[in-house]
Amino acid sequence: MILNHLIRLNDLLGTAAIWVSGLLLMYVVGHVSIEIIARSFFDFSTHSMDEFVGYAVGAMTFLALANTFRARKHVRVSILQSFIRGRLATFAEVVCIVLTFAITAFLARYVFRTLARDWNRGTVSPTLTETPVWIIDSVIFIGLVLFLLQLVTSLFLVVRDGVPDPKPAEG
Amino acid sequence: MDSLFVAFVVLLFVILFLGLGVWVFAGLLLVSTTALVLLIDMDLHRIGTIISPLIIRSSTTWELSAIPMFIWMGEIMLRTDISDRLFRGLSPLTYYFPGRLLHTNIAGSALFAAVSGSSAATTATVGKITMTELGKRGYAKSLTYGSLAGAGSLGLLIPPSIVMIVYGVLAEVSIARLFAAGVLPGLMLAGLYAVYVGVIALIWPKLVSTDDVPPSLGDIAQGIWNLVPISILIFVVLGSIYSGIATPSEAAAVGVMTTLGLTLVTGQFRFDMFFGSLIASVQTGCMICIILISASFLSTAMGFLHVPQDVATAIGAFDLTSLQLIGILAIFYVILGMFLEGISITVMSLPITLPLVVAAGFDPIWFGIFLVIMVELAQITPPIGFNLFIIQGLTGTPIMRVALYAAPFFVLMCMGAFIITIFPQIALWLPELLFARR
Repeated sequence: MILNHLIRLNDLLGTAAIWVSGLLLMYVVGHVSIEIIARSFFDFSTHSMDEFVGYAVGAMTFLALANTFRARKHVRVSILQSFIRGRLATFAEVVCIVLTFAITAFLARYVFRTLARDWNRGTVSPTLTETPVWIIDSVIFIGLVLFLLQLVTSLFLVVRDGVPDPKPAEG
Repeated sequence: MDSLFVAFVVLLFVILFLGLGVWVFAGLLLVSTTALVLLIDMDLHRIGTIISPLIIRSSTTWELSAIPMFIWMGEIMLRTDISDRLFRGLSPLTYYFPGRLLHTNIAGSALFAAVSGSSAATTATVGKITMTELGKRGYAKSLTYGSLAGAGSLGLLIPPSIVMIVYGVLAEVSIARLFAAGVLPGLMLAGLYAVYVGVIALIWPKLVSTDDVPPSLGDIAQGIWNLVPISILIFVVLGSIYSGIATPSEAAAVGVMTTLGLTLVTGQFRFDMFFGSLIASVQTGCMICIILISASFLSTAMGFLHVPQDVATAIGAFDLTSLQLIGILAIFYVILGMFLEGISITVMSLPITLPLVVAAGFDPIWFGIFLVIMVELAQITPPIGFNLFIIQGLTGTPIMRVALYAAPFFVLMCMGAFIITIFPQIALWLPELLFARR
C-alpha cells in the first residue's frame, strides 16, 4: 500500500521534473537562436547567453536524472546482467542501486552545504547579471533528491518484481 | 613499476564497479571516490568539498547545450519522412553502381551524418527504411546489415558530431576545427565501404538483387528533388558554422529551428511529434551530460593520484616510437570498445591518453579524429555495440550474427585509422585551409 503511494509520488515528481527539463531545452534553443539573430542582424547581444544557457543545461540534466533512470536510458555495462537470472540478478541489481544511492546521497549532502553557504553569504555570479548562485545550487540539489527518491522506488520494485529487461540507449 | 601500481588499482576499481553493472555516471564517481580514499587516504569531507563545486561548475558549462540540441534535431528527423525521402532520393542514383541499392545505406548514412551528431540516430533513421526495402528486393543480409552497421557510425565522424563536442570540451581544442578535420576521413571511410560493396557485388552478383528496374530521367530528377530537404539542413547547419554566423554549439540551435521549420513547411508538424522528440532528447541528453559531469571529477581524481604522469613515465621507459604508441592505444581502445560505449570511452581514457599522445608529438585535433574512429569501432564490436543493438532491434537478428556481418566493415575502419595515422594530413588539411587566416 505504502509502496503504491511511493510509486505514484515518485512518478508524479519525476514526470513534472522531466517536463521542466523539456521547457529548459526549449528555452536553450530559443535563447541561442535569439543571440545568433541579434548578433548577426542587429549588432546586439543579450550578454547572458553563455551564463543562462549553462544554468539551463545543468538544471535540465539534474532534473531529468530520475525520469531518465526510470526510462532505463542511463548506460551501463550489462555483461554480468546478461549471464545471471532470478535471485542472483535481483541481488546484483540491489547492489548496483545501493551503490548508486550511496554516492548520490554523498554528493547531495555536499551540494546542500554549498547551497547553504551560498545562501548565507548571498553569493552572486561573477558576471554582469550578478545572478544569486543559490538558485542553480538548489535546482541541482532538487534533481539529486528526486533521483534518490527514484532509486528508493526502483529498489522496492526490483525486490518485489525482479529486474526489468535491459534497454539499449544511444551511443 | 611502483608508479603503475596506482593506475592498476584504479583499473581494478573500474572493472569492479562498471563490471558489476553500476550505471556509468555513478560508477565514475564511485571509482574516483574509492581511489582517493583508499590510495591516498584522502578523507571523505575533503572529497565532498572538492566534488560539490566541481560538479556544479562542470554541469553549467554552456558548450554542453549542443549535445541535447543536436539530439533533438535527430529525434525530430526520426519522426518525419526524412529517411523515406533519403531512400527514394538515393535509389535511382545508385542503380548504375555495382552493389546498387546497398549504396543507399552508405550514401544515406554519410548524408544523414552531415545533419546528425549521433551514430545511433544515423543507423536508426537510415535503417528504418533500407532494412525492409533491401530485404524485400532480395539483397543479401550479410551486406545489407554489415554496410548499415559500418556506415551508420559515420554519424560520429562526419560533422556535426556529439563525440567531437565531448572531445573538444575535454581536450580544450576548437570544435569547429575538429568538425572540419572529420570531413575527409569520413568521406574516405564512406568511399572504402562503397568500393568494398562494389567489389563484392562484382565477384558475387547473387548477393545483389537483379530485379531492380533501370530508372528513367524523371525518376532521377524526382530522386534529386527528394534529397532537397536534407541538403537544406546540411547547408544551413554547416554553412552557419563556416560562415562564422554561429559557433558549432550554436549551430545546434540553428539545426533544431531549421528542422522544425521544415516539418512545418512539409505539413509534418504535430504536437505529439514535437513533445515526444523533446522528452526523448532530454533523456538522452541527460544520460550523456551526466557522464561528462561525472568524468570531470574522475579527471580531477586522476590528477590527485598522479595517474597520467605515472602512466606516461612508465610508457616512456619502453622508449616506444610514435607509431608503436598509437598501435598500442588502438588495441587498448578496441578492447575498451567491446564493453563500453563511445562517450564513456572518451571521458575515461582522455585524462591518461591525451597527455601521452601530445607528448609524443601528435596534433590533438588529429588525435580527436583517431579517437572518433576508435569509438566508431566500439559501435560495432560485440558484446556491447550500439549499432549492433539497433540493427538487432530493427531486424530481430541475433547480435552476434549482426556483428559477424559487420566484421568486414570493422576491418575497413581499422584500415581507415591506419591510413590517417600514416597520412595525418587527411584530417589536418581542411582545418588548416579553413582556419589558416584566423
